[in-house]
Amino acid sequence: MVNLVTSDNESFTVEKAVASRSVLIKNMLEDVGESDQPIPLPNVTASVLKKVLEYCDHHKNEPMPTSEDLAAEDTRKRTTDIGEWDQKFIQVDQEMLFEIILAANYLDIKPLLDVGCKTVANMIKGKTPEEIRKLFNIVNDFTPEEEAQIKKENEWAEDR
Amino acid sequence: MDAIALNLVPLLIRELCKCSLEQGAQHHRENFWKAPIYSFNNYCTSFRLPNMAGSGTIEHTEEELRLVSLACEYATHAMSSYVAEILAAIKSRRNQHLPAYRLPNEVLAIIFQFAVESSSNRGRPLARKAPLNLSHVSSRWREVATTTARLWTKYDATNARIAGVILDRSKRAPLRVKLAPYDPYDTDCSSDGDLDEPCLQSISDAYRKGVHKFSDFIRPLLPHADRLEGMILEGIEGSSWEDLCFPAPNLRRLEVKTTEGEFDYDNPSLQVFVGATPLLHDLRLWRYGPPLTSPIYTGLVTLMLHDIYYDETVQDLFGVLAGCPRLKRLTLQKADLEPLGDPSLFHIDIHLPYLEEVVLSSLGQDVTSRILSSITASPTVQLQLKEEDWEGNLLGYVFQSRLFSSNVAPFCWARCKHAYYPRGAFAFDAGDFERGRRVKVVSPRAEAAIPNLAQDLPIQSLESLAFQGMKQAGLSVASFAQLLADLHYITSITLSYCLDPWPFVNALIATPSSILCPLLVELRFHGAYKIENDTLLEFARSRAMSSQHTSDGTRPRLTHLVFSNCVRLDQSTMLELRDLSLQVRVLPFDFQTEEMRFSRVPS
Repeated sequence: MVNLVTSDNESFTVEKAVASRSVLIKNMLEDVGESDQPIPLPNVTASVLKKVLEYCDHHKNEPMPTSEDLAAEDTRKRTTDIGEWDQKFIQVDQEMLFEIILAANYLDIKPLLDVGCKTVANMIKGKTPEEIRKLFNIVNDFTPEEEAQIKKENEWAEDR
Repeated sequence: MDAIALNLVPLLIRELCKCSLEQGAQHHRENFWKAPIYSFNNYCTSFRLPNMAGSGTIEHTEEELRLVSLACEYATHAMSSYVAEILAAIKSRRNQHLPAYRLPNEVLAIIFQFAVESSSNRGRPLARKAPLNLSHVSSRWREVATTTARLWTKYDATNARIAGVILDRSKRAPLRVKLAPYDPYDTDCSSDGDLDEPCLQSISDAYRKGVHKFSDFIRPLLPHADRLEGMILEGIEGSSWEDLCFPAPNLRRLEVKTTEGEFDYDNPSLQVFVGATPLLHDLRLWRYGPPLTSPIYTGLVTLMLHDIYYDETVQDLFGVLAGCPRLKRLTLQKADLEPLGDPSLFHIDIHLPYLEEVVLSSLGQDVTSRILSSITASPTVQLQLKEEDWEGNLLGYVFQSRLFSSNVAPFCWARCKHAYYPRGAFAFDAGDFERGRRVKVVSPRAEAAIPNLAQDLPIQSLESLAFQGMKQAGLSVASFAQLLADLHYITSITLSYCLDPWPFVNALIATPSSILCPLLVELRFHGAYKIENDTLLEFARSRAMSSQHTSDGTRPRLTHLVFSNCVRLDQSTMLELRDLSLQVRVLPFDFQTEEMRFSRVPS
């Protein structure tokens, strides 16, 4: 078993197979060897780690992506399809969604990072800039120079 | 001047804000910030520019007017610039606090990449199409989008309108060009398709424009030809090939579907890509192909030629194949080659050890037989073959050919399927349980070929045999029985969509003196619209009695009956079948028998 301690000082004891879905934790365990020492995760809160561990537990028996898989990904067409279980898992509010993505990035859990990124991609695809701003509460902060350039691009892009 | 504006304009705004805060004016903003009602009249009437010579003259006043006008204009411009920038900076600061802004740039770039690669993205108008729409959201998103070169590597009919932007932002990244109609019902595109009619019309118009003005479409790419990695051109006219006359040193994939059009196919000066495609490994052509002597065919891993007339012979085709020692996939469909001058002098051996997939269709007996007898492929090669006319036994020829002689893995399953074209033909496919289908041949004259299959083909160890859509006109009971008499290891037979399967079932009834397929443990019906209860029960009784001792040893008993997409079995028949200790599975209507065919009968 592995003991993980979150930024808000909560402890989680999980199977090694579950914790090792994180390449960061897996490498730490390999570096320090067998140890009872808790692993601090200063960038992850308890509520987020709970979700992340739920994902890791569900996928614990799946093969880890190899370096060849990751290398091949650049040349392969990326799809935004998400598995059924993962879709339900990632149905969370926006704040939690971004926190999960951040945690997956920090903990180096590539499949979870992909699920999060695909979910955001699915939210934004096919939307106008204004619709995307509204979706994420972003305000238009372009400088006059940027505005002028965008205006030009929109003119070129117009269906003539 | 700039120093004055840089000091005074921010000072003015800062002092006004400071004053507002001091007076608690944020609580009664409307009053505090209402348009100024005071007048600058006193300041203006007494305004004089200092040290002006000739004071009091018309000339002096006009000079003063000109100078003050310029200064006011400058001040207004400085103020409006400052206002736009200070507001943008504060808005940026506000955005920093959003959950979406917590993502680092590299993660944002991954999200953008997924949006760009999503299947429906190609079919969107530019205003909603990634990455352009993403680069118009906010300053930070623009920064990430415009500096991530890989987002800008797709060049298609819609993107061509902003060719300059695409080619500039993709920096030195490899480019993928696609000029093809957008089909929202394509399985590749439909998963997230939500495109409305005007949108599809606009995409369709852009595509047509790209096709009709292909030179205009391709021209912006010419300075970047060394970055071309893949090109898919669909529906271009034959003459458009003349525009592909630049070197493409990094082109890896080329797919061209040419339509009919005016084109000098015999133009000897036309050298596609000036013969410089050293990295090309995937070439797929429809209706036009450069002469087989072109270097474009060298070093390929995938070669697909469809509906192309060549005024060269099969010998030239073999020249191409010999130049592709790492070939993995070969498709030749209606590739029309000239006859050989003296075929008796022609003999060639081509060793293609990596060749895994071969599709040959409607090439004519001469070309097909020469290919089959000249090529040695991977031992696990998969072959699909269709010939409308063949003198002699096509299936026998295939399995004795050089292409298949190295095929060591035994076939475990086979299927005979009625083929609608040509008349009287049937499709034979076979494979093993581990890898699925290995061979599919559409052969004319089913009735003549099927009875002798076991003698002509290396299928003596077959375990599973399926008949699909076979009518008695195409397969008589006698032929059926003759085939099975030679197949001693069959454990499973499937009768799928046979108009009347019951005469075949009748032939399978075991008697003390004769039994076909003595190891049969499973019979599957798929799409049976009528159940002949008497025949079914007699067959089941004859096969399902406890294991019988024969002169060859103990014979296993029938244990499984499977019905999928069939009419309902009546209750009494079902009960009687179960009394025989048979496992009777009735599968739902949407159940696919494919998985059954490829799997071994459960013991």
